[in-house]
Amino acid sequence: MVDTLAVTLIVGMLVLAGLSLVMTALDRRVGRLLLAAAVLGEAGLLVQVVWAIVRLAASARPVGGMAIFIGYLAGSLVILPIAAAWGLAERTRWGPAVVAAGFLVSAILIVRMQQVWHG
Amino acid sequence: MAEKTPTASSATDERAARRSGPGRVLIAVYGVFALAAGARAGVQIATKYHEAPVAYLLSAFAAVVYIVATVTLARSGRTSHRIAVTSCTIELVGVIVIGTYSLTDKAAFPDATVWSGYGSGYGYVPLVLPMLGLLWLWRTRRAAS
Repeated sequence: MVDTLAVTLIVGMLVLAGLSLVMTALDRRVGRLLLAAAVLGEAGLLVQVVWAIVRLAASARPVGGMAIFIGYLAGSLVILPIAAAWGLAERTRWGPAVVAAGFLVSAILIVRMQQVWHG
Repeated sequence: MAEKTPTASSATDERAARRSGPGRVLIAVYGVFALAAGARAGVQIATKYHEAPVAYLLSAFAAVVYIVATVTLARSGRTSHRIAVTSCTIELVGVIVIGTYSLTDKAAFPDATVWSGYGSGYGYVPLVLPMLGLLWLWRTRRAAS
């Protein structure tokens, strides 16, 4: 896994989580801005999945175990869509807080994938 | 008068209260934990059960409790409320007992469980989550009655 990509994604997820929490502080609901942020975050995770497939195809193997790595990789794609839908359904300031939790979990998943990849 | 009689509408109010606002964030985090603990325990038991059977069975038990808590926090009704309180209490007792035990007798836990070291491997979320859960259940119950 390219560390630059992972670090960029982690920082990006933390920035988007911060943006979501600002929306909670401002008493805003989940709107176009946060939905766009979720799409952006998901796009970043898709880039990581594609890159992982390219590396795995080139016979690189995660040191911490293939099954666990694939599990994290697949899991990373489902978090943000669920968080966005669950946050959108909550028409109060707590909607953005749910989305913020989704971004934070995504950041943690990328860290864990790095650990599994490097062993 | 009307507030003290449990009616269909008060049950709906309670349900709306429990899974809305901060409760929605709580349920979301519980859901993530149910998924993470369940997946981890599944992998541990499937691939290296013999290495630390007690720790891995404990992980699986914790995962089940998280799943039950997630579902009952999101559902309405008295029974769900009672089960949710029980689940959160089990989690709190578990994280304190296992947390203390894992620090005093490291040999008993060769591999980390969610509750080892008071949940330090998970940013102490396993310690904070049941407290927030019980606080939230207590608050929404008071608001409903």
